[in-house]
Order: sequence, then structure tokens, then C-alpha cells
Amino acid sequence: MRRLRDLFHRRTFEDRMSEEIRFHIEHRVEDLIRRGHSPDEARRLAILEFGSREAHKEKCREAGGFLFFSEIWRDLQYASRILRRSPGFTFIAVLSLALGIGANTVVFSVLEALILRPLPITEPRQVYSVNSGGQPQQSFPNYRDLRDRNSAFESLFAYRVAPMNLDVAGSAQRVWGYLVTGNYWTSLGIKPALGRFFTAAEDVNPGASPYAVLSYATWRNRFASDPSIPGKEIRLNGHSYTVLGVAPAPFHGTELFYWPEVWVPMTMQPQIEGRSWLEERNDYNCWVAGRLKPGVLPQQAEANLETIAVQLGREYPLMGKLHFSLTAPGLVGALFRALVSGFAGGIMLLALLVLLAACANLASLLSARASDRFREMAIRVSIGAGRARIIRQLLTESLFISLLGGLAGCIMAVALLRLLSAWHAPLDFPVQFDVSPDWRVFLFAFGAAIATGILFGLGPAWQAWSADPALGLKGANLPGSRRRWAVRDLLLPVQFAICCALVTTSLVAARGLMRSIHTPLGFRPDGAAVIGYDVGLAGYDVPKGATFERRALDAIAQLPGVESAAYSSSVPLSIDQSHTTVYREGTTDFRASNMLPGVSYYYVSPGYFHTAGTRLLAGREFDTHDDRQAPMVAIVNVTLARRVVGTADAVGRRFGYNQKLVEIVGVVEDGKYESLTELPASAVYFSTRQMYSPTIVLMARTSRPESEMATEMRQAMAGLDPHLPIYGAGSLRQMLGLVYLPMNAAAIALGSFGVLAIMLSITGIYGLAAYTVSRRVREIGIRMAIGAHPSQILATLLGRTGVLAGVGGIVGLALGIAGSKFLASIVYQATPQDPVVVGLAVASMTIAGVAAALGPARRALGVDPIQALRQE
Amino acid sequence: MDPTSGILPGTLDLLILKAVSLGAKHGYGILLRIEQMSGEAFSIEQGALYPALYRLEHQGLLDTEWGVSENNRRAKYYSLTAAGRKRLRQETESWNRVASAMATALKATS
Repeated sequence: MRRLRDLFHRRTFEDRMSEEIRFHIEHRVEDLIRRGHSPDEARRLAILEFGSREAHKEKCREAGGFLFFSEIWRDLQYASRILRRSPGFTFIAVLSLALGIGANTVVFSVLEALILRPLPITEPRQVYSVNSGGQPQQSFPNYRDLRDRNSAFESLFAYRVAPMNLDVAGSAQRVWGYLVTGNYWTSLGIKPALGRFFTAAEDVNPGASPYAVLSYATWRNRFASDPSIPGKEIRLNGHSYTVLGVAPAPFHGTELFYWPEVWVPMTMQPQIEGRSWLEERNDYNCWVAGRLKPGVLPQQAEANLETIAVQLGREYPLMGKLHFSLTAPGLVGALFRALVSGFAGGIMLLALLVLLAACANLASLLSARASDRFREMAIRVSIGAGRARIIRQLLTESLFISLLGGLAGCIMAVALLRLLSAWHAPLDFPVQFDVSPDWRVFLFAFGAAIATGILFGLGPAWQAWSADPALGLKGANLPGSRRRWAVRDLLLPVQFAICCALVTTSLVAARGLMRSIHTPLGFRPDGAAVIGYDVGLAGYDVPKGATFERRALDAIAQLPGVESAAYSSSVPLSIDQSHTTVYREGTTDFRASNMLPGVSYYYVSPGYFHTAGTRLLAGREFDTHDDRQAPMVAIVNVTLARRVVGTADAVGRRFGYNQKLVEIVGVVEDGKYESLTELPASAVYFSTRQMYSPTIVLMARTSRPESEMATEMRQAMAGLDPHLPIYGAGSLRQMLGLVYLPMNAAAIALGSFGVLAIMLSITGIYGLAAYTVSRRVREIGIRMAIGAHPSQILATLLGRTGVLAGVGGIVGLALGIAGSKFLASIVYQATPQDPVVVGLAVASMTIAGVAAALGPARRALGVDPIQALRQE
Repeated sequence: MDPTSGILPGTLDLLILKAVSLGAKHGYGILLRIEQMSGEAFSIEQGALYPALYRLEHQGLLDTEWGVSENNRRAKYYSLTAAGRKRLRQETESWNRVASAMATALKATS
């Protein structure tokens, strides 16, 4: 208490101490005068007798018990005065740190949101995704067996992403929802914001639980926060459902990126999706997760599931082998977790490199300054300041800078994160990032600031520690500066190397991105407008749906500007991808040994390949005669042709599909189906006249702007059926957005780091060059006076900086090229063996370096010898 | 140079307590008093008095009060607290004990 009060009255303490000492000396002077000394003599004697006033004061403060606080306070005052005196230095220092810490804060909060932050559910650490073969997909009968036979989980639930058609005020809107088992809510430990949730009772009778739970956002946005919503009817896919309750605001299911709007019991699956797979053991359509019993470890649970897998394998020999593993939920089980963690970890590493570069930057500036302040330090030591005191002063200064930088960095980061959280991916899918920073992020930024402050403050502090004050008072420079190369000369090349590596990496990524835009996809997305719809959601049965699809195609084909039009069940690289299994040529033996699984399949209308721009290599497209009366036909891509009949020349050959033999009537070029980085994959196309799909993507090739075309297509569809929900109307490229998303994210992130790196190297070189020039103004003046050529002056002044930067640059370039190899897994076609990348990296770093040195160089040449020599 | 050299360690505190025990004094007054009491045998750097005063005050042995000095200036006056008085008694006793023991020891001839 007393200490606090004293601290509060610090000023009074200082004032009173000074007053007391002044009183003592005045009194002494009077006494000495009385004893016959002259006034001047008396004052001199009194001061001498008293001894070192500052040292005694310091001891008084110590004795008073709050030396520490008062010293910190004075250190801070002193530091702020020093920094105000050199605003250029302060600005550069704070700016580089703000960039470094800001970048780290942004990356850390993304990392935190993606990987570290637990889901908003009860005891999230006990909840695990159950993966089979690296994905959480499972067939519903398998799920039921796992649920009933396991002894490791308190409860095991299944869920499935499902689009639904919600009638709002007479108009149909497509919403994304979940089909969930009745134990979903109790497993996650979620309490309703309103009404109640599903229970086990909703699992019992198939098709008898027409209930729905709304997300908080949907309740607020679509139902105006109606407090009496529980018990009310809504219409989903043309059927009536009773709203039971509303989920709490932060809850958005168990997947990080998917924010569903509505939950419906799994038993209603047939009504929602049309075709039931609830009893199909080989249809892997739902995702499984569960809450472990208290005390059960994930490894024990995996072992438990493995024994069930063995049992199931014995009971159902036709089923593929099951192998279970548990992962934390949130990123589609194990599917994306490794990729996202790797990517986020890599970016975090780059961000730390940026911070390190900023630190090296500051350390080199501060060391340069420290040799300037050597004299000041020497004076302070000789008038009685302890070395520890001086080091604390220097550290206070660097911490002061780093905290300022951290604050500025935080402000920049928060602004950027706000933008990022508010951003919605231009996709027909409720993808959302919640990366709003929380206390952990700010703690991180604060920690980073303190750590950097200490890191870059240590060098100058060490110099002060080892300095000999006698040398300083003689006017010598810091001993180290007499040597030709000092340790601090390492700092500039280190910083430049890091920056150069970052620039190289970001250029590699940018080039890869540019190239990937032109990568052959197996179709031509440019000049194609698409609209997607689902007649199943609008309640059409198969004959009605098939008729409607043909009418829709006719309507679109007649629009002005449409060169050709066709439709398909889905387009490659969109979200909606399905796999099937085909059997080798000529076989009627549908056993596992002849099985070719993992074949992407599409139902396409006549003229699809022409419209999509896929090259037909042999045979023909489907035509109107390939209907249900005709024999089953298919078109395959080259890869599948080779796999199924051993040669690309496959027209006329047959393969087994769905217990039937199918004739190949055409072979098309290979393409990309699920990701841009995939290896050549198999694909098979069936005719929409022989196979029915309620989900349709209608495509029109046109020379008109795609968005304009899409708008007209949407109007035409509304003319046919105003209640049909349309989604994803726009260019085909937009529909492929999700595929490009990770790549764009990588390119944007790396690009930003490249820009940061260039800014840091500019500030680094500028700072050092400007400092060198300002320190050697006198020398420049002398050299000019004795007739040195400007180029000679520049060579003396900046030659060293240039050599250091050059060495750093070469090392950085090599590092960047080496480090870029890992990029190839994320950014398609990113390759560092590219003369353009190397050229651009060298050019940009050279330009940055020259631009940074330009100002100081001009200043050096503008020195007026007479003025310079008059100084000091 | 250690500003308190010339006096035994710990004796400065005792001298201050003794000087103050005879009535409240300001810092300069205490200095004069110590010089007078000790017959100017102890010479200390004058400023070194103050850290000792602040330490004793912080330990609760001295009380301070601002008053007006004999030459009409504002001055800080020190006086003994009860604890200070007790400490002076204890220190004096133990000093006397040590001093007489030392005297006896140094007188010994065999």
C-alpha cells in the first residue's frame, strides 16, 4: 500500500528529496560563509563536501523502497525523449515491427481459428471424427452397427450435408442443411436457444419425424427472430415440417467452414433426398463422429472399432475393407486436417521469418546507433550509473519501440481480420471463416512484441556492457567499429536474405497461379455460362423431371447469343463430385478382383462435350436415340479407356457397370475432376436419356458476357417454373471457385509476404544508408573539399552496404528456390526452375535496394563542404 | 571511494538514532550533531547521511515532518518513533557489550 502511495506521489517524493538536499547545501553555504569563506568558495566547498548528489539520491530512492518503479518510469521518459529526437529512426523501426507483428498476428489468428480453437460444443476434446480410409464417410448400416457394437463411445452420431428447398413467403430458396441422427444434439451437449432439439425418438420410425431445427442466423434473418417459432410449420422440399427449436448463436455444427441453416432428422432422408440410401451398406453417404466415454483414449477407441471392422468384414464379404482412425472434428475428418495444418504451419513459419527480418533490421539500426551513443553511455557510466542500469535503459528503449510496433501491428491485423471474417467466398456453399481475433491472439501479439524487443535490444545492450568508459570519454568510437567487419555486419545480409527468399517464394507462387489459370482442365471454362437447379427439391418425380429438363434446355438454347447448350448432372471441379465403380471389359464376374473403384461419373445430355469444350478423340457424342429403349452406352476418358480395356482405342468395347454391360461409344480427352493437382483420373459419362439425375447444371456457350447470359438464363427458368430454386447462376469459372480457393489463398498470402519483405528490405537499407550518411557528413565534406568524385564518395559510403546486401540477396535467392519446392503441393505448377522467377526476384530486390539507397545517396552528394566542416 | 569510510559499518545508523533521540532535527542538524557528539572524529561524505535517513524512515524507526528551520526555511524534521527509541536502546546495549568485550580482549597481555 505504502509503496503504491509512494509511487502515486512519486513527483512529490522527488521534489521533496531535492528540496531537502538543497536545504542542506544552502545551510552549509551559510555556515561556511559565517566561518569566513567567500560566497563562491563556500558554495564550491559545500557541493564538494556533499559528494555525488545523483548517486546519493539514487540510494535514497532505493532506501525508500520503490527504486524499481521510479527507474522504469524515468527510463520510459528518457526513452520517449530519445525516440522523439530521431523521428525518422522511430518511424522506420515502428513501421517494420508493425509489419512483422501485424503479419504474425493475422497468420496466428487464422491458425488459431482453424486448428487451435475448439468447436463451440461441450468438452470438445472428447469429440472425434471417425474416419475410414482417411475420410469420415460411412454407410448408414455400418454406422448403425458401429453405434450399437462399440464400447468406447458415450454416443456415436451420423450427419450429412444436404441442400434443401425452403419455402419462404411463397418463393423457393435453396438452403444448406444437415441430416442428423437423433442423438446429435445430446452428443455435442448443445442447449437450444429456443424450443427443443431432436431426441432418440426421432430415430425410430422412418419418415415419421417431419421436424426441423433452425440455425440462429436463419431464425434471425429469415424468420425475423419470431419468438413463437417452435411449433410452427415450414415447408422443406414441398413437405411440411414442424420447427422444434433454434440452435444457439455460436453453434454451426461440427465442420469449421460449413455453416448449415437447418437440421432435419436422418430418418427423413428419403423425403429430403428422393433416393434412400439408409439401408445400402455400400453407399458411403454420411459422416460419423462421436463423444468418447470419460477416460477412454482415442487409441483404445480405434482398437475397439477395428475389432468391429473385422466382424463386419466377415459378415459382409462383398464390402470393401474398413480401417478406422479418429481425428479431431472440424476439417472433414482426416481429409483436410493434414493439408490445412501443413499449409497453416508453413505460412506461420514464413510469418516468423518476416518478423525475424524485421528484428534483424532493427538490430542493425540500433547497433549502428549504439556506437553513436557510446560517448553518452561512457559519460553515464563515469558519473556513477551502473552497467546494469544502462542495459536496462537500452532494453527499455527497444521494448518501448517494440510495444509501439506491436500496437500498430495489432491495429492493422484487426482491420485485416475484420475484412477476412466478413468476406464470403463467391461460392454456392455456406463457406465461412470466423477468424475474429480473441484474447489469445492479442496475448500472442504482445508476447511477440516483448520477444522481439528483447531480441533486437540485446545486441546494443551487450555492446554497452562490454564497453570501456575511458575510451568513450576520449572520444573514441566503439571498439568494434575499428575492426573491418563486425558481428552487426551480419544483420543486414541476414535480413536481406530472408526478404529475398520470401520474395522468391511469393514470385514462384504467383507464377504458378498465373500458369494454373491456363492449365488444361479437359474443358473450356471461359465463355460458358451456367445455372444449377434441383428439380428434386421442387418435388418433381422422374418422368416430370426428365420432361422439364428437356424443356429447359430448349428454352435456353433459343436465347439470343447462345451458340450451343447442354446439361449434365454436375460439372468437373465443382463441389458436387461423385464416384462409382466399374468392372473390367467383358466380365460378367462382378467380383472385387475385376473392380475399378473411384471413377468420377457424370450424366450428360447430347451435345455436352461440344458445349463444354471437351475434345472428343474417337467415336461420337450421345444423341437422342440413346434412350431407355436402346442398349446402355457410355463415353469414357482416355485414362479410364486404358484401365478398362487396356487401350485408348476403346470405341465399341464393353465394360461392366451396375450388373450390366455397357458399350463405349466415345472417348474424350482427360481432364481435372476433383482438384487441379490430381494425377490423371478416370471418368465415365452416361446419357441423361438413360440415367436420371434431379440435380442439373445447365450450360450455355456464348460470346456474350457470362454474367449477363446467366441472368437471362435465370429469367428463362423462372418463366418455366417460378418455384424452382436456382443456384450458382454465373460463369462456369465461378462454379469452380472452391478448387481455386486454396491456391488463391496461398498466392494471396505469399504475395502479401513478398510485398512485406520488399518493404522491410527497403526500410532496412534505407535506415542503414541514411544513418551512415548522417554520421559521416563531416568526412564527406572533407572528401569533397579535396576533390573526390561523387562516385568515389558513394562507393566509400554505400559500397559496404551494397556488398552486404548483395551477399544476402544471393543466399536468399538460393533459399527461396530450395524452399519453393514444397509449394508445388499447394499451388499447381509452382516451379522455382523458372528463369522468369529468378529474373523477377533479382530485379525487384535490386530495384528495392537502389530505391532505398537513393535518398541517402542524394543527401550525401548534396552535402555542402563548408557547412559540413563547420560542424562541431 | 566509499563515502562512509572512516566509520565502522553500522555505526552511522546508531549515531543518527542517538542524534535524533535528543530532539527532532533536520538532516543538516543531524550531521552537525553527529560531528559535535563524536568530536569530529567521524568524517563522512555529507550526502551519505540521506540514504541512511531514508532507510531508517522506511524501517519505521524515524518519523518525518516538514517544519520551519531556525533560518526561516522549509525543512524536513526527523524524530524517533517508539520503535526507533527501542532500537536505540538495544543497539546501545549491544554496542557497549561489544566495546567492553573488545576493550578487555585488547587489554589482555598473556
